[in-house]
Amino acid sequence: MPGRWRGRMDLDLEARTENGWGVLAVKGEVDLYTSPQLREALERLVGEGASSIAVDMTDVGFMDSSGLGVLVGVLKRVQERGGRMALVAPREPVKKLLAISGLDSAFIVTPSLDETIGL
Amino acid sequence: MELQTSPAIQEDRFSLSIPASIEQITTARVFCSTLARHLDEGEEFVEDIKLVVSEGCSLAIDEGASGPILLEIVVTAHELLLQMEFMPSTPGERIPDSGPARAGPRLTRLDVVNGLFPGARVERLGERAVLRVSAPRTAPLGS
Repeated sequence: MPGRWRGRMDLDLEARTENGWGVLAVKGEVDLYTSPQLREALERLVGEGASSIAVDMTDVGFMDSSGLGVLVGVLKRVQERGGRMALVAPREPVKKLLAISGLDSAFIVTPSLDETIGL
Repeated sequence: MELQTSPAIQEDRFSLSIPASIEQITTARVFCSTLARHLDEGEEFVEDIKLVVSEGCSLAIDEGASGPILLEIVVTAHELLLQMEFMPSTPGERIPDSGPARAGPRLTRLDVVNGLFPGARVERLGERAVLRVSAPRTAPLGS
């Protein structure tokens, strides 16, 4: 079910289902303060039955390991169901965090949402 | 927030004291990124510093820091020395260098910091703990 909400400072989340994918567009900064919001939104998508998840990170200006931890947790849940999880258009600092953590190959990283969900 | 700069040519010191609360992590990031940009550092360096400060503040909060987190940046011609001092909830116990991971099975906040600037470490100063990070400057000398 589509949903849009703005909660704590610096994070805006918009969820929808598209072409069989659960899509979450994230806007703002993801850190220890805002990452619970990200977790809640992603778990809601998974709970609503989305087998594969695309996180649109085009407008994520900053993310630290708190956010990465949330993504890893959801990745595990999605993989347990045989689904896939894609990070769409992460900016260079986020890519660098993925590389440092050795998780850059754990996620599908794609440049565009349309390419990810096969539109 | 306290902003101080010394008249010394060789070294300038900037400091910020914030409550150890998750809402204030962004304040520390803004402070450090503004300073790095003021020093004409490139955007990659600025983003690296933001990540270091965010992980450092989060580490302090993970450790149950009470009282403020004291952030000091010493600027020299060649590097930025970041120190983040806090009072852990369990004074006297060693802050684990490789404590509970949030980002993955083996990844720690200090791992992330070291991935950006190797040699980062957490030291004890009596009941306080200090994260120390040396970030080599990328801007031309004299900036």
